[in-house]
Amino acid sequence: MPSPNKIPREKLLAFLSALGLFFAVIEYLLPKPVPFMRLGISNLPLVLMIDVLSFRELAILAGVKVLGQGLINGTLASYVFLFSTVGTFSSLVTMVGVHRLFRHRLSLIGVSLWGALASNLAQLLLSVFILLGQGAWMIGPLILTLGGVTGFLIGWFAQMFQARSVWFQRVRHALQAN
Amino acid sequence: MHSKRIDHLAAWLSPLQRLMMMLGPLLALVVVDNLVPALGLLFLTWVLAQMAGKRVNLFYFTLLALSIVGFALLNPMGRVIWDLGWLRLTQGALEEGLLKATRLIGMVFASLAGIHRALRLPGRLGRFWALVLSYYESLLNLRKRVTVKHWVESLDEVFEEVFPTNSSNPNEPSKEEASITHHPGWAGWLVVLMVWGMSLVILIWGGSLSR
Repeated sequence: MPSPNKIPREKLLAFLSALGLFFAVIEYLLPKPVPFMRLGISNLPLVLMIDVLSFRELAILAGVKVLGQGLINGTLASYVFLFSTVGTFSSLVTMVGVHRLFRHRLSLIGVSLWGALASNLAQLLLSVFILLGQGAWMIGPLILTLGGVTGFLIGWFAQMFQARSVWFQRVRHALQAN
Repeated sequence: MHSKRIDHLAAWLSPLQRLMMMLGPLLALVVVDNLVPALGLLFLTWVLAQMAGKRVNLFYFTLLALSIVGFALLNPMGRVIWDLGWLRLTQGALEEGLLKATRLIGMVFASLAGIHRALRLPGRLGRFWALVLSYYESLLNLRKRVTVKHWVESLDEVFEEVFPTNSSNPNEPSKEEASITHHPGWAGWLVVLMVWGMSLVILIWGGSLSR
């Protein structure tokens, strides 16, 4: 591989945030079985970059995604923003945690599944305490199953992209050389 | 086919004024404790969201309201108005569910009307946000180049074009981000005052401030 070019980390973070935002807007438009739940497609850049960026950078990525989602979709002052923030950050902390604990024994699919589980559980708790009351537990199995499916797909997508993308390899190489 | 919505508020309000305008009905929705004024506030915020050119999916919000009311009914409270045997429909639970749904949906409408993407955030965060929006616009413009059959290759091409890794100078994003920054004018502040006034009148009329 030729010598890597320097990649400004701030610009890379901005690009990845924009990518997260792009997926977030797609997610907002998708029909959902329970209207207030998030599927987590917009967490794709986080899963993709989990072993490339530091926790601080991943947290910035997550923060800009939820803030941007609120600004672009216009939901910044609503319960949607709260659900999105709690879901994203609980997923991030869990994914980084399991990735650091089981670095070589857990694939990106596993990491993403853990993230989906954390995000959906956090949102379920929010539903119980803020939105729907104790009855919300009834939709738990449905939400967790759907979250598992999207978590698997996101992990698979990230794993395939990491393995086959020339762009990703260049970014990783450049960041390691920086 | 969807027609492009016109943002009528943009002619009167700067993004900051929009944000200020939103705070009136939003605060009113926080303090309202009665269904009738809450419905009034819901109507006001819906009108504002329409004026802001936002698409409001009625099916989505109906489903949301029904699920909130449905779950509230699982916790019976007050006078029984309908006994189905397996479920007792109570007036208190129904009213609480409706009030909660009205509040939450009203807050979404207020947010849709009041948050504009051109809202400038201060300092370093503001500069970073402008950069993010530029990349976002570029990604949006190139999204049709992504194909399902060759998704990795096509995504690679798009990413390389928006954020090049093989040139000596990584791409500066396009500068086409429309910074719709109107200077706050007196007419805009008048609109803000009117919306705040209407929110207050609805609260007083509904008796939410007299208790």
